[in-house]
Amino acid sequence: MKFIGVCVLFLIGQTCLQSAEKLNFSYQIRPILSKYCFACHGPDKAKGKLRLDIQEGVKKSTKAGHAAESELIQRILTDDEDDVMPPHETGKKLKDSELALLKQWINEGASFGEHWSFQDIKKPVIPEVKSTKKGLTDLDKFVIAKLEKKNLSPSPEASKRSLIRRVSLDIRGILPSVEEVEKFIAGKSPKAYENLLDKFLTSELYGEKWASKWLDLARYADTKGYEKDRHREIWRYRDWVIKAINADMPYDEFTEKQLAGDLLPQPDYLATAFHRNTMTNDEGGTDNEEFRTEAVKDRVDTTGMVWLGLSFACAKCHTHKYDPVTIQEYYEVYSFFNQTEDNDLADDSPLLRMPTEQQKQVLAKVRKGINEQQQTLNKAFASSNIQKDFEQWKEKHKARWTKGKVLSAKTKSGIKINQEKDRFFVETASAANDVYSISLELSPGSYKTMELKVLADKRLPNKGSGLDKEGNFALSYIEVKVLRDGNEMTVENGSLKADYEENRMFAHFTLKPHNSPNKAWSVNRKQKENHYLILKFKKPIEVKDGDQVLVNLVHKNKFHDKKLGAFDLAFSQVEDNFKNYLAKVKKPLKSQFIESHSELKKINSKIARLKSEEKRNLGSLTPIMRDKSKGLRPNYIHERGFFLNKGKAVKPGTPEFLHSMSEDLPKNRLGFAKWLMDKRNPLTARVAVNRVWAQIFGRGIVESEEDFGNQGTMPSHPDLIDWLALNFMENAWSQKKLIKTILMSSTYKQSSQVSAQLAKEDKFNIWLARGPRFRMTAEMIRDSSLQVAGLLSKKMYGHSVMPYQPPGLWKSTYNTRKWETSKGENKYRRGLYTYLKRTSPYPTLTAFDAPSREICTARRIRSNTPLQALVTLNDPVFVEAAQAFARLLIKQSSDSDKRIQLAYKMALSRKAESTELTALKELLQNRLSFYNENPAEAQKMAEIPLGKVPGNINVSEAAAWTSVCNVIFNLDEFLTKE
Amino acid sequence: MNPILDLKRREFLKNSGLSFGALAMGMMNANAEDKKHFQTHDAKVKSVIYLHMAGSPSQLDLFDPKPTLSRLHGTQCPKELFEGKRFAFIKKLPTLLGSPFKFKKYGKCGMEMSEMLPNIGSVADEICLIRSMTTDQFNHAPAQLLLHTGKSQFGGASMGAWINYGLGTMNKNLPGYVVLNSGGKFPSSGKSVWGSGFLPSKFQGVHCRSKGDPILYVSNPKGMNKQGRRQTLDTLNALNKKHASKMGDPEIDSRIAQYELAFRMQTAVPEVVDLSKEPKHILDMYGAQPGFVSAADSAKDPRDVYKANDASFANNCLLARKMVENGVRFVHLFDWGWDHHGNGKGESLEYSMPPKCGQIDKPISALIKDLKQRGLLDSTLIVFSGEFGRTPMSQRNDRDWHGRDHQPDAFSMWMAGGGVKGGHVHGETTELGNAVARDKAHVSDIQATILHQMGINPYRFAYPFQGLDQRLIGPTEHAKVLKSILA
Repeated sequence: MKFIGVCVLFLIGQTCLQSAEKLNFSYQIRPILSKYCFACHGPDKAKGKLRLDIQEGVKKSTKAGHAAESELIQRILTDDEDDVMPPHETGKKLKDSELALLKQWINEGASFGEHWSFQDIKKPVIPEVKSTKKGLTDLDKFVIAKLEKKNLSPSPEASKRSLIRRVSLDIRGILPSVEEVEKFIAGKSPKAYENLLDKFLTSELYGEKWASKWLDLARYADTKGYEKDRHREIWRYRDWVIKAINADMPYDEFTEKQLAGDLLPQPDYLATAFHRNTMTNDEGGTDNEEFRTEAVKDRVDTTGMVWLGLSFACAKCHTHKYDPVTIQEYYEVYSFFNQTEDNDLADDSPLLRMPTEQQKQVLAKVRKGINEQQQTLNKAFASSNIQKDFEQWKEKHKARWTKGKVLSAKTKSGIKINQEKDRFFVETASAANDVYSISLELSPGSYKTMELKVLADKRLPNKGSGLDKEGNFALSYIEVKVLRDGNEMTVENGSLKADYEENRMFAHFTLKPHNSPNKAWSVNRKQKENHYLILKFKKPIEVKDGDQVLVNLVHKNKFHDKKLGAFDLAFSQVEDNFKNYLAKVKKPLKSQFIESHSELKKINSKIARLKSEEKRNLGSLTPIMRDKSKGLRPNYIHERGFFLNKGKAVKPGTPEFLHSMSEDLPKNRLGFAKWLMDKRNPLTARVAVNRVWAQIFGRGIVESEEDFGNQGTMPSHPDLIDWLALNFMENAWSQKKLIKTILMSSTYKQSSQVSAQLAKEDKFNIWLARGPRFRMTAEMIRDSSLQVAGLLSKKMYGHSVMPYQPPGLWKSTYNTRKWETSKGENKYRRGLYTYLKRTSPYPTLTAFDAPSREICTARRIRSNTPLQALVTLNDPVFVEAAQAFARLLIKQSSDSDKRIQLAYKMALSRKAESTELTALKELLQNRLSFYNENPAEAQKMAEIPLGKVPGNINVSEAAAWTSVCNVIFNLDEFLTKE
Repeated sequence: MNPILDLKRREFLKNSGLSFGALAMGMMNANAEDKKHFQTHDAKVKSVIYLHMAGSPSQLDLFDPKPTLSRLHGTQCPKELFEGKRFAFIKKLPTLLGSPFKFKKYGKCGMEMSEMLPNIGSVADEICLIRSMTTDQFNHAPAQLLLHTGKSQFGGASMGAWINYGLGTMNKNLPGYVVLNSGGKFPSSGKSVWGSGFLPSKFQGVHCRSKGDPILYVSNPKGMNKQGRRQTLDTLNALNKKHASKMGDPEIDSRIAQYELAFRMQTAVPEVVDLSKEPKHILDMYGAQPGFVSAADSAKDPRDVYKANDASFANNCLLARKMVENGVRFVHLFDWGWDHHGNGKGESLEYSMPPKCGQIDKPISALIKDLKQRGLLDSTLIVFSGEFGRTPMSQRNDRDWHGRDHQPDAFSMWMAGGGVKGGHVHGETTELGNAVARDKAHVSDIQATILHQMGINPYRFAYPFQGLDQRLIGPTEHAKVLKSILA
């Protein structure tokens, strides 16, 4: 009864102000104060030390029973520019009706109450109703009680064909088949409707339909967002959601797994990808910590919105202006989420390998094979014959490369080169250009190649191989000379190759002397590894007794510290090809030997084949959440929300205005998830049932699905939302049971016709005197059209797909990936499998209000635009569907009436009326005569993009019917769930 | 797009965020009083053309001459410019980089701008140059979002969407907010920078393309001519009307209206984007070429193929004029390829800046002159900017090519027409151009100023979402209208 004031207010407007019903602070007064006062006199600012969101402040500014003497009223009424509230510059002014409510409330005693949704959920009394209508459920009584007070009557039950269409769309997201409709209409069982619900609820299509909504909340997408917006492999999470929904996973389990699956005794890592759908910024020059903290904040904000229906986000820069969440509390919640390993890295690590079932089987087999072959190989290798071969091979190998005897090693600058066992070592760089000269004595022979090894050395900066701060060098060129009898002969270098070179710092620069300071070989970025450069002489060096071979390593660039630090030289008389050399050079001797040994080689190549098969079957990598095992991050308030402004240190904790966190819960994400699902939590269940309700009725009991706080919309049926919330919890958080409860109600089953009275008095169907009627979602429109056309693929799960999209829409910076239209049935998958690139989402879905999923979207605001008309009229996807539908109708019957009747049954689940038949037949005739006269146009209309019309179908007829089907796919009735 | 229907829906959305009482009142009198709530003064401007150079051109080479920097070219950067500062790429003490280009004085006002912009220079007396801009972000995507949506994270509404929401279009056969792009790539922040964020999606920018359908799916399917479409729509309307009379739902009437509007757009859009009917002297004035296809659009890295005579941007400028002439509220041009770091030839000042300037110089001056000769310059505000500025330091010293790192603390932008002072320079930077010395302006000030010129009170212009009155200028009261630049 306590809401009667509100209800009457709605019906008769201001006259209710004289209502004898006492006003309710939480529902009628608090919203006014929140709207006009909390911004300055709320949790954040408390100007003049006054907070009107708490009892103390309300008491201070009112005189119970005496509105005129209350400062609250006086300050609103005053003419004094300085005193008037709200201040002039805010542009806010109370409406007369609002002022009247404030006065009445003060005169009635100025009672105080908490915000409705922060109060415990109490079991509401099922209201008494006058209606004697049969089949009323408890749910209905909450609705009818309100209607009776408003002198509105509920609508009669919708026709059976309307019902099955509505139920099918609500549960499965697609239309009922002609057979399903006929069977349901013919059915006489009193339980026929309930049986239908049960049947639909066990269909796997249910999970696909309801996943879309959850994926909006989870901001699931196939790319990482921001500038480069590169691909992210996370579709397995989408499949996880579909499966969980189909399995009717209880909402508490569903929650714990997604928020903290990694911390469960039986971990579910895949579920934790929920919070890895945050964006990763791969833009060059970004600070990983900045965007890591952004991602963590997004997790806090999303969690707040999805489970608590609160705009936590507002509290990250300052204490919330309207709801009692302080900036400290924000960062206490943040602390729960701030210990995960992910760090805005380009590879999105940590990642989980996720082989499919089939891949798992292959892997088991392959790995067994590898093991066996490895053992065979080990055994063979250990045999004495082969050991002997190995010893010989090693000797030969060693002899191949020689450095001969080092005669001298010096630099032009005079800086010392230390000769060590396996390397030359230089400690410091000269301040000018420098040449390292190594003089060697080689045994006589014909030397074809020289090797320069650049060695990473712990003694050098950054454990690199060069002398600059980062362990880099830049070698300008290499000169080789032979000294014979006091004459110096320059050896002509032929060609060379290195195993690695930095971008634009090529090894080939070192081939010939030059003077360019920019041309040099460098191994920057990989300076902590050994590198190899192999040089072939144009003609072999013929070394004779007494010859000296001189190697000059010339450093001539402008950065004087970029010089070699640790290196070695060797010469060989054997000529390798570069590829072989470089492939071998880093391998251990044993591997090199095995590869060269005729017997072992065979076993080895078997292993290699198996290993590559193993690699192909490892499965995709999915980003997951995992807490750091060491080096836990300290937590601070980020002043003004900026991650570098470290304020007061904080510990994990939950907001004070909500229920307390049980002592026995761990202070981590799992504990937090359990706290969310604590049945004392006044928000989680209310928010969840409201979300389901909104999907079905097109509008939540609380319209602002995303905001249950002070600024949110007030619930139209407060007792009903509580009743549903309790029910949901009592039914072990079963979404299927919740949906069934709603769909079993007479409220749901009402006809959605809008009477003149309702159009006037309840345009938006807030009071539910009729059934739901609203435009289908983007996904439903696509799916239904393809379904009716006979094109829709039943395939579930897997990589996201790319239906037709005009070329040139993807133009991300530094990303050359292209949209490539999927082949075969993947072109016709359900909308939720469409590849979603955040910076350029699929335009057809966007046109119908599907979000880009950069952030959590709690509610798609339905729009009605000409761009939508252009999509369903002209998008090749819908044109193709019309073409396919036309051919299907033509094949089914040769009679126009029958074809139209079939089309109506398939698309609208009903028969066409005679006026409809006439209208469509007239269009058909007009189009037919046009296409008969214009066969080239007919061919285009009938065949682009679907392809050639089968030989037994007349092309003009196909074209004319395509136009008819194009009309049917654009009927308001087709696009609408009604 | 239908202003009457829009208004009702909008009023409903707005009021429904409040309370029962408010909702009831709002529904009973969706009156003019609320509509004017944020319109506290007369509008100076009807339309905005925003020219965004994505990547951010260097102010030190185009708009803000620094003789001292040139003198100290090649010397080590003073420590105080480096220490304790965050940079996107510079990691060690860099050297100073004087501009490789010269500056010239232009117009009666003697405004100094680059020698590479002689045509823009020729309209210097129309330009109000702001040399004291600052922003909070130094990575492209967040900075572009902050500039255009008022917040550096995703989810906000673009200023075009805000204005479309607040004022609507003046020609209901065309979208109220149109986006044109050139340079071969989209801006770093992708479509979000013209998105509607938390506002209803119908207010988002409509991307108008140079190839294929100018607006997605505006063309009928092949084999369906205009007459055929009319016939199908007549049948569709008749069937929808019949259904409306049965169901009584006003949404059906609204849908019928949307289909009619779509039909009119099918004529109006191709007309407005058709440049071929423009007289030759106008095409020449802009350097526009109807049907021009840029090699940059299909290049792997567009910067490798930039040419000064690429007509993409010129075509977009001419389109912008036509759009404004036809009542579009907000036209957003994004030209990519201004991120001159100097890591290679394609992104160097020396190699890449001259052709980019060549692409924009003539078209922009033509746009200003053309609007003026049509009497539209006073009612159209032209804004030119990047998302942040560039450093006086060379990003790398070990290259033949030079470039600058990102700098949020000081940059230049300019406005023309729309009630701003012509031939005026606002603000000043320090000797080396690393910080603002006088009259600091923040990107939120620019947002406030644009709204103000459109007759909108930027502080009151709000939309309730997530429990907050969301505003383009952000939640704090820091933003100010730059009154001193207004004529």
